[in-house]
Amino acid sequence: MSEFEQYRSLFVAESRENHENLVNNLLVLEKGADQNAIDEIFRSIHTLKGASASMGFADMERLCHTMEDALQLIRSGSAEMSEDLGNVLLSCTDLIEEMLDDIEAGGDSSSKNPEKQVQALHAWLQQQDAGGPEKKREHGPPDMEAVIPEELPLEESSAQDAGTEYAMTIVVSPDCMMKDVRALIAIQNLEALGIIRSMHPSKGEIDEGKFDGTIHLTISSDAGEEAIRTAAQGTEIATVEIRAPEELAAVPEKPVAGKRPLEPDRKQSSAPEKNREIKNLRVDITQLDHIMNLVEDLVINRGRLKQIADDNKIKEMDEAISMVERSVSELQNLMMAIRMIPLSHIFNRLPRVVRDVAQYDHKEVEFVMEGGETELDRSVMDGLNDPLLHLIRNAVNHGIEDPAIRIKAGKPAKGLVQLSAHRDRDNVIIKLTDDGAGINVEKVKKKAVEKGLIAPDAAATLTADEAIDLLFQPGFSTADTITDISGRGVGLDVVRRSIESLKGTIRVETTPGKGSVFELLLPPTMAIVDVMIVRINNKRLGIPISSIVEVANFRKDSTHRIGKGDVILIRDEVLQILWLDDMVGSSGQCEILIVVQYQKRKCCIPVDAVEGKQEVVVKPLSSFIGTTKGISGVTILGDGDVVPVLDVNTMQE
Amino acid sequence: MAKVLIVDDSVFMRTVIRDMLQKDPSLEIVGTASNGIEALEKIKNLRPDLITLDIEMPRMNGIEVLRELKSAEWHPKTLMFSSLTSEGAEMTAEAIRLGADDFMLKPKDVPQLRLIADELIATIRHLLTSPPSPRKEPSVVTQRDRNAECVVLIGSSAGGPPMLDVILSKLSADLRAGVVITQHMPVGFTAPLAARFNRLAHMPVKETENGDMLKNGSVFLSKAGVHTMISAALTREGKRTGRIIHSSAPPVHGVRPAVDKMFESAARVYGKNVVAVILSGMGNDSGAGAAAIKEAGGTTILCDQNDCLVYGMARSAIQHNAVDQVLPLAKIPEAVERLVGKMTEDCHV
Repeated sequence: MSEFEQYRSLFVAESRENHENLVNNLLVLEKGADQNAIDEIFRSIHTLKGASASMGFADMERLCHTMEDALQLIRSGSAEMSEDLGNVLLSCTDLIEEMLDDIEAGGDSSSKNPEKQVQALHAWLQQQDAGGPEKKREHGPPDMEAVIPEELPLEESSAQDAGTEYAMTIVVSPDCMMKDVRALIAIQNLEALGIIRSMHPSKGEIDEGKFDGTIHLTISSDAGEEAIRTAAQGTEIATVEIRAPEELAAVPEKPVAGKRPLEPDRKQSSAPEKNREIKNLRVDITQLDHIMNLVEDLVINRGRLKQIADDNKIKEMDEAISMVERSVSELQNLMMAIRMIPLSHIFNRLPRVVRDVAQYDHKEVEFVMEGGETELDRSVMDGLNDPLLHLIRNAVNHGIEDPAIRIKAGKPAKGLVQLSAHRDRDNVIIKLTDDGAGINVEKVKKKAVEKGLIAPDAAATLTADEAIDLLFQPGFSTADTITDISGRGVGLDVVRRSIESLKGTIRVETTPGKGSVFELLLPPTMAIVDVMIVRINNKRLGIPISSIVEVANFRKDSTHRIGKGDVILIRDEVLQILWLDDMVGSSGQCEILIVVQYQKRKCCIPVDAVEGKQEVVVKPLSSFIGTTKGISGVTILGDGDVVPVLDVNTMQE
Repeated sequence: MAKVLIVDDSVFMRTVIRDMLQKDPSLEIVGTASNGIEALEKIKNLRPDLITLDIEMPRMNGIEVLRELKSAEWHPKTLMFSSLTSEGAEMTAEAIRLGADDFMLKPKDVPQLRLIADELIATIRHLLTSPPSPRKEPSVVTQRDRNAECVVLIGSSAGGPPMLDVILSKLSADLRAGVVITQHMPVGFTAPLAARFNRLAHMPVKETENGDMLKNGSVFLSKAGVHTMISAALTREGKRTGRIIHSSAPPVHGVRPAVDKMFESAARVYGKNVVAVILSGMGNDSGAGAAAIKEAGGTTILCDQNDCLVYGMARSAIQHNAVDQVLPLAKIPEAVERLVGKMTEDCHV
């Protein structure tokens, strides 16, 4: 079994790709005939089937095989893709996915029974058979060679197990010289194939010469009529008549699977190819993580070495270190690049989600994706899947209106949901746009008041942005009914929290009647961050460069006290001052102000001094400490100092 | 070291095949290709001695590769890997027509991989050592051929095809007996196998059809999916001869065609004028049939264990105490010809 284990993960990895490709092309096919999609579907099922057969997963193999049968009719043009068939095929792919999950977890997928799906496909096949007999004929004469399925089905033979009884009449040519010899050979041959139940004249009578050239006999045999006929025939046997009364009615006509049409042009468009090439990267993710840890250690130790060289003023070492430094940076960049995965990895599953939600809600939705090639670090990608899924469901479920309402509003019945991604300098921006009803700010306020999230008078003074922010409060949901598909307890608050844990931000823009835009701003990678090292009260802190807007002189005389906090006027803007005294203690000699920005809100942090800019590896806080607002993690600097890295997103609260 | 290139669009399959081949130190895997275009490129640059070739591939499939190879400057031996489907069988037949040297079924059941690996390596070694397949005109059984009064039967299963290559390429075209081979094969794959044999045998080889008459100097390969049985027929001159009958009786020992069915039916028709040869194979198909042949006065030959990949079928014949001779593979053609010569002499005396 060791060989089996050896191939398990490889099997799962490849099959998942094929599964994904299969699902996406099925969705393409559902929109209309597409030769390329059909080819891809067949290629994927074929490989899935082959690999599962090799691994001995018979159920999956059978399921794939039945799917192939059904799709064959689509390919040959004798049936059309319908929503029903689409649902059945997709439920098959769901099962395949479950099987793959089971196999990946160490099982053998036998707990997943494909009977239901296989039956459904058979039912569909039979329907096609009954529905379009004329079309079936178009495939030409039924060619047994071509239609014999996998191994010859056992049912066929077991039906004949008992043997079929045939009544035969054999007539020897009248001008034959040795009628009896001919007859006896025929009888001998028949005896080899079955049991002769009755015969007239009998063998003894023939031997005695009481034979006029005609024999009537019944034989029960499992060899088939063709074999019996051939065995009885021979030179100078004039006619052989066979009647098999029970047989005539019993032979079920086999569905003609249709011959394979000519191979379509294989040198197809290169679009799917490109995708496949990207997918060819196969590295065990745990190994990759391990390498990444080593690279991080290298980065830290490089810093320490540099520190030592600086402290001791060793010139030769300095040179050597700069060489090492170059290699380490390159290694680091390379590692970062390797860990980058195109977003299509999670994007590819979304068309299916949109389809299901839209179907469930009886909505018509066109889903467009762009920028699937944009790359993100694997760790970011992992955390992005669920929030994105939720937002997409929301967009269809809450955003897009029912077709009737849309038409009334002068919009096309089919709603548009657009998902796009692009890289913008240090960030990856993912935008989800829908052309639905938009967010009704008043409704949001009313609901927030009803749920006790906000006092009625406070609600009245909220700006639109602030009201929309309420959506992200725990316990808020605008759906009138909790549906099976979206809702389910997980609210936008969870989405926001997940995005923030990825060091990202989420922003919403909405135009009533026109639709909403959810914009996710994500760092392409989490592990290595550019930070500014600052010093307050002789303690060092790191502030991510990406959130710094400006570094300014701090003039204490320009601060004002408003309410409980201090503010300062910089460039005609009133900014809140965030004293970090609670964290590091008061120094009383802050001279520099770091202006940071989170979303649209700016604030500033007074510090004693700026030490410099550095690329650091941010390690998460241990679970012992837990998550602390304002701190995203710690980093170890070259001199071994452990420095907290500020999290501007959460520290403002 | 022989250089091998693996062509398959599935990385899973490539890995499985590569791991199997790595068990043989005399094979060097010089590369892999995931589609036909890549394969042609690598064949040109790496000049492998042999390629394993998948049929269904994106961009360019295996059939197209074979077509392209015809006009290429480097001709590796080609071993097709076929899927066990009717379509796969058709494509395999096409591949053999286009000059593929041999085919194997894609490995099923990884737990059984060791056996498949042995068979794969044996097949590849055999292909590498055999001369380039002669592109002779396909022979056809003509009406002039004489009805067979003697019959040579060969029963074979796993590991058998390369052995059949050896025997068929040695048996002379004027053998005065009909030859019927039952090789366990999935449905659809006996036609390409027969086409392949036809290329390298001196005698014409074809897949059986119901009603085919046995002729001297011609070879039949039992069609898979039905049993091939031999039934008696009389010639116009009143001479007894044999005729192929396809029986759709249930599989015997789980196989159809079964060697036992062929052996038993032939024993009844040809009596002592039967030479039965048992080659490599799993299971115990052939034992009972060999016993029937012996009882009817025929001769049974077993291939030596050293030359067999699997010795199951042979063992079943031994258990039935139905073995006349045990010979190394290389000696079998000669022995068959000698025995047939003796039988025909007896017939004429």
